[in-house]
Amino acid sequence: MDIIESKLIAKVIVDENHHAFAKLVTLHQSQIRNYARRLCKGDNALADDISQETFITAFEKVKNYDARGSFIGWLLTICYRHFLQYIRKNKLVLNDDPIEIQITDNIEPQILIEQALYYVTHEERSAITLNSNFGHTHQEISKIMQLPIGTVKSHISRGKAKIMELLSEKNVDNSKDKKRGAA
Amino acid sequence: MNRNIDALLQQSLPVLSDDGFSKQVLNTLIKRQQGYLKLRQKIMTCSIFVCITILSVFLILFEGNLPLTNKLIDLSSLFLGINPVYIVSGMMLVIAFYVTSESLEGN
Repeated sequence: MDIIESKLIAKVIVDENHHAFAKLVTLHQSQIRNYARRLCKGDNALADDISQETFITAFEKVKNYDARGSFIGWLLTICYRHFLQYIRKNKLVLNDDPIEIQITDNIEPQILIEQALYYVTHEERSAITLNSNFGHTHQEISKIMQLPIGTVKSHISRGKAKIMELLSEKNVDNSKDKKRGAA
Repeated sequence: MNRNIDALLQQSLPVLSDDGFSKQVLNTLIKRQQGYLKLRQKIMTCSIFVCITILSVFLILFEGNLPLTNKLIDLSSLFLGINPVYIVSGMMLVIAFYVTSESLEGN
């Protein structure tokens, strides 16, 4: 955590300073919103609602932040909890609806992987995003998702295996190799 | 292929611009805080009203059996023969109603 961030957090804790809080939101909004978008399978409106609730809860509970872990880790924990609450409240089963991956000739690999990520469970998607995109360690992820480290590791490897299986089913790798060979 | 997938997964997500998101969060937060304050004020007003009402009813019920009311009853001649306990209780009730309605209307 850098000095600027800790100063801002201190201002929010001591004075309930809205200006400092707005700066903290600006600092972390991109990561929280990206994470929420992944969790919500690209439903940007829902993701932004969950992100907003995350920051409001963070403001209300900032006195409980013990500074042992990173502030962004704490925010991600709140975000994941809000997402789980949303699923339970609306009795959503996000993993039941099958996702059809659409592969076109000139599909971007990033879009392809994004689509493939929607195919795995939300636990797997969350663990993979936190690990691969945000670079959090297994221990940090276990704290964020409140799961044992072993479970986190298995979520990551199972999710990756599913993505690989899905992409190989669609012959994505072969088509790419063929394209490379032709070039 | 495994390495391919890892490399693709590790590609960073796009940096999202604020687009007024922080302002929206702040506005929602301020609105909620104001809402909490109003609710707290309403609860305070209602509890004061309930306390005054209970006190007034208590005074009416025990009009002659409390040392204070006994003293008040002695003063009844000053109030055209009307028991002062009723006058005090009535005034308290009117004030309680007035304060509560003013406060709730204001919110």
